[in-house]
Amino acid sequence: MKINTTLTRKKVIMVVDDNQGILDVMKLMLEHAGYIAKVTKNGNDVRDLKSPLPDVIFLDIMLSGTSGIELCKVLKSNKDTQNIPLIMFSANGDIAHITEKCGADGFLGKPFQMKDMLAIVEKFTT
Amino acid sequence: MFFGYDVTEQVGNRQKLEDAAVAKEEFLSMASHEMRTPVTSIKGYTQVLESKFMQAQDTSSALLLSKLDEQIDNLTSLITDLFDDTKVKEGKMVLHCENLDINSVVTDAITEVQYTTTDHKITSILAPHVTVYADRARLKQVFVNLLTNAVKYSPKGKKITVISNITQDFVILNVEDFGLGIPENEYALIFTRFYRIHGKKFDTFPGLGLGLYIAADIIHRHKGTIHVESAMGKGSVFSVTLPIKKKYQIK
Repeated sequence: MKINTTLTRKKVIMVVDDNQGILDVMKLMLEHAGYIAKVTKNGNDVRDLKSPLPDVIFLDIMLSGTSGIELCKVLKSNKDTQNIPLIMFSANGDIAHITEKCGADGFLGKPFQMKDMLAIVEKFTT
Repeated sequence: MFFGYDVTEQVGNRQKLEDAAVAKEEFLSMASHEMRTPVTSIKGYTQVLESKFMQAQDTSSALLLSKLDEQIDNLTSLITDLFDDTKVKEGKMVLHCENLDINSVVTDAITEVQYTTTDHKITSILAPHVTVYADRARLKQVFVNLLTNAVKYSPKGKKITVISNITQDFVILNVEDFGLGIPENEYALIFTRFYRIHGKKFDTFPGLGLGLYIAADIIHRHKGTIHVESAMGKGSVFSVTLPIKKKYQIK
């Protein structure tokens, strides 16, 4: 598999998931492809995003505490954050339907092919 | 005179059985969901390593990791089947249908399965512009399952074809392989839950016996049919029939 690791300007990708294993591997994959990865277990970190805003956010649906769906709605109803591409990801099979309901920009089922995840990032950052 | 029966015990027992069944389904659902998380990490590390070896031009190490990645995909599909099995059994499989070109679904499935084999060549002859009202992901799952089986049970037959024909109201998609074949008395049984064909030639192939059971449920939910015809030692043809969405029906 060939991954493009040469990017002219580094984009910032935020990942929110309450599983450390997922955060570690997402960070590795994104940095391997030349992106800056900001990862957090705390869903509330996306409530008060400050500039510079991330270029894309990956948000787990089944977060402990506030659910990813609720956070998605918060981000999409805030004029400062509503234009950030928001990708829901989950091991739940009905993720497409859930994404439709909360107004996210895309979805990714776990487990996924790295090339598919990076294709989504590229689509929303170019 | 009045005769009465105390059914308290029977009602209690039935409730216990129902509770146990619900607990079992919930456990399977939760377990298959939880299993996907570490699999996601393992798959991610494998793919990053494969990519690093490719960049270092160490193709033999990259090949080992691509084999490992294939096995992770096999594990994922077993977990997915286990998860879907609970949905089928509970009648809780939800379809998210849209008007779609059936050929794009079949082509996606062919690309995905072709990626897993260099020994087989999958070709297609598809009738153009056939719209069906269907769940893209679920329909793709059916064709990936049929093509994966075709590859798996054709250790010597290298050719696999997908051919579609249309009638006035239906599209018929035939997935044909030139593999081991299926005994005639088992044509219907292979679509039942946990059923696996036994025999010297078949016992070496891994599987849970859920893929075709789930595929049949998906096709039936689309108001379609699925069946098989086969000749032992010569191969099998799986036929999927789906209603066509006609132009005047498309909105």
